[in-house]
Amino acid sequence: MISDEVERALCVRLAEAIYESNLSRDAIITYEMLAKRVGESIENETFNYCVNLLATSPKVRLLDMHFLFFDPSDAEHIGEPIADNEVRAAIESGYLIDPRTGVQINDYKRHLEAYFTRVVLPEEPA
Amino acid sequence: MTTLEDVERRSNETARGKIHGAFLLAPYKGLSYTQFIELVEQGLLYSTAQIWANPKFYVELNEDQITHYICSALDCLGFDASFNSFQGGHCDVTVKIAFGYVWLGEAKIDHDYEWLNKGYHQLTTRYSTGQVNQNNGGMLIYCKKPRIDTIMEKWKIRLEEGAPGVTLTDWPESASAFYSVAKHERTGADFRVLHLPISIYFNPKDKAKGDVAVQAAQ
Repeated sequence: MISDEVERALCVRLAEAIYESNLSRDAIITYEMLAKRVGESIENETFNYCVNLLATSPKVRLLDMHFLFFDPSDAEHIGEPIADNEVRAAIESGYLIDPRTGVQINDYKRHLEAYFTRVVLPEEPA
Repeated sequence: MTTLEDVERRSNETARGKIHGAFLLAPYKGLSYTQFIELVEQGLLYSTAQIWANPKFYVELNEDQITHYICSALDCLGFDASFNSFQGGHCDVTVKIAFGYVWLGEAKIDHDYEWLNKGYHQLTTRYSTGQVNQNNGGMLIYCKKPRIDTIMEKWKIRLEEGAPGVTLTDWPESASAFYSVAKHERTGADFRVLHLPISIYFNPKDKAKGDVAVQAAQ
């Protein structure tokens, strides 16, 4: 399916990084983590293409995307998963309601970090 | 860290990034059928650019081989594209996504206008349902002959003769491409078809060493 050799090889390396690293099923996988594991720059277009392919293609999907919320008023905040429907509501309304404080955050797109969980493969034990 | 803002920015930097970005964020932003069709059409532009750029690699392939390449290229953009899947018959290209949206494509080499006409009727009366969210399709016309402008102008005339009431509008994103809209026989809803010529004519006059001189199909 992937005709470009470089892209195909990178997708294989990403798959190995996702499945051969003892990551638990609900482990948080970030773009940065994947970039580090395959030795690519986070801004590399081919890297982003391959990660996004593995997160979108129905035929080779290995990743599900979600978001972590970082409280802009708390520099120490380590980030916490935010429900997909809250992200949907923020995009629809143009602002995010801080799930902890109820404060309205207008520049919410800077405070949501994209992350992935790995797709459970059919051959994996339940 | 990679924020939602970063994901959107990176997605907008390239044509294929825009398509991936739309699929990646569809669970959050939603995706209408109209947006899906725009993505399919942009995906076709992106997927066929390689054919336009290097026709000598494709000119000796048959319809199925070229279409299979295009389906694979669409898959790499995040679509679920099937070659020759059963849809009232063996439809050349079926593109679906989880929302229940469907786009159907019929591929034809430009042997003659009867051949194209057969493809158009297969698409509109055999494969397509005309249902909501399934009322767009495309004719992928692989042109082995020169001057796609004249080929497509003649095809427009034949199409209007064979499908009374059809309306045609140009699609400026690709040379000589156009849309047709006609009432679907099953539902009476408008069914829109993108007629997309893809030139695989290759006949360089300098005859560089290694080129395969390929004459226009007879």
